[in-house]
Amino acid sequence: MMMATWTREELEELYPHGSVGYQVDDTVTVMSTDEWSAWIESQVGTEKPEEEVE
Amino acid sequence: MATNWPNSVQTFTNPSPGDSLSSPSHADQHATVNDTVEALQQHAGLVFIKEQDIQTSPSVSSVTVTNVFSSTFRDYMAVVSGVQCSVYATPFLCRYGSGATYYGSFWDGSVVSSISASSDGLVVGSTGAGAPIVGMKIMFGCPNLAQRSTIQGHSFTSLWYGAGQDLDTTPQTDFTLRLTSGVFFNGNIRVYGFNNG
Repeated sequence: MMMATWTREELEELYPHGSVGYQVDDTVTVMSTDEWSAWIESQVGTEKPEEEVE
Repeated sequence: MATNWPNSVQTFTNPSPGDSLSSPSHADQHATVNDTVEALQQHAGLVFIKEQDIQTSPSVSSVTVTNVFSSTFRDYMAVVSGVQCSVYATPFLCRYGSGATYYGSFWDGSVVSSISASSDGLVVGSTGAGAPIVGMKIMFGCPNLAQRSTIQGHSFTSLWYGAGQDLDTTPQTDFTLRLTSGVFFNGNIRVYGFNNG
């Protein structure tokens, strides 16, 4: 069975720029445009998890 | 009087107002307390080091916890509780602060997979299926010693677990937890050191 994979459009809709950060201790830094774009790109083509499967 | 700890729980005699310094013996009182405190330092077991709350907004792709590993303890445990995630059945990776090369393996509930020469870290659990709230326990072996160190972890909320070794021998003070995709928020990470006495 073919697994569905994430597209860039889907990921950008789920995680718009400005909505994702990275945390170091108590400080959260919102990803810059370049960081966010690279982070989105790293997930394009990865499999969508199936909710029913443990 | 020497302490009974850790063979049995030490009991103490509290002086009453008006008691003389000899009954109960003032020196004995101090000696018992001192011996018990010393024994606690040697036999206290897990020592709580740091709690890191995970921020709610914005959601994060990773959390780095700094200054938790030191020469005080050799081995450590982190307990991750109440973390909410945007994705189901997605692995969490854990790595030390500085560059490293990781070898290990993980089990996703049905298949064992290998991690070879990865700089991303080791799988230590996953988000749950159906209810993406995560609990994990992560063990760190010798992170602050100048030798290879280990990371192993498992989820409370899924079947995933993983373990492996960091080939880098640089003493580490920090670690980072991140999702391989998606984001997480809420919950906290509590770090403990194993007291060696």
